[in-house]
Amino acid sequence: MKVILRNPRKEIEVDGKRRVKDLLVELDILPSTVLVIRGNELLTGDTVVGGDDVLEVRPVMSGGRAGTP
Amino acid sequence: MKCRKCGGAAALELRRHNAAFCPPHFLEFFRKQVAEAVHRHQMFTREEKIMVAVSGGKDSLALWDVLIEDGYQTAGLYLDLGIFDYSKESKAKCQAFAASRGQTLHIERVAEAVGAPIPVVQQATRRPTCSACGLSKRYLMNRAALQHGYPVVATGHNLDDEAATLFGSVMHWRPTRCRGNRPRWPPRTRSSSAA
Repeated sequence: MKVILRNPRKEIEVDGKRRVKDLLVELDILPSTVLVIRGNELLTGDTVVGGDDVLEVRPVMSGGRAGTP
Repeated sequence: MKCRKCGGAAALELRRHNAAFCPPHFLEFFRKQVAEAVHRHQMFTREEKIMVAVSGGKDSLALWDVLIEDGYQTAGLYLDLGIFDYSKESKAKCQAFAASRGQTLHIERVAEAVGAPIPVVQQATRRPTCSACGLSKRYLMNRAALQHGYPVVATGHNLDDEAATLFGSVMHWRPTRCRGNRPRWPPRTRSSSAA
């Protein structure tokens, strides 16, 4: 599956199936700091992903866009 | 993971509430949380006009949306900070939101009000950007509300904001600011206002 990371933007390929929460642990991302999105769908930690899935891992932030002066 | 309300597939898990919700029931839960907080803390009534300070981001626009749907008399206030394309995009989002819901959006330009846009203020004062911005915004929000006749100003925040404020107070050893991190205002009477 393809995983799109933000800030900085990066795309990585991950083989095999696993739960979202396990994927985030592998990527060293705290689950409570991101939304995991597949298409128009938000995924919870127990959702199994893999195969042709394209996931976006979007950090949740407030108070302006990253990089704003 | 299943929605606590309907048992369907959940889209969001809220560990703080030990619950998960599907999209429609999350929105229902969210609106109910806001309504209960407004009622519990006697923030304002449906007779009072509310100026909702909006940045174009999710927190403030979600608040405005919830208040409109709950039947409050609202208008938006967008403070144009003059931060290059960021401010242009943010203003456009606020204008589009207001137009889609038939609401009034007031726009105030910080550069006109204080003599310079935020990036220049930041350089001149040598304060952190957020500090220069926060001081200006609070003053301008209150001023705009008084000028336009709104007794209430509403701002949208989330627990990240609360946590950042609390950590900042702890790290700078400001114990008085750590107390009472709950809504505070003078006792309200039927005729009083809360701007």
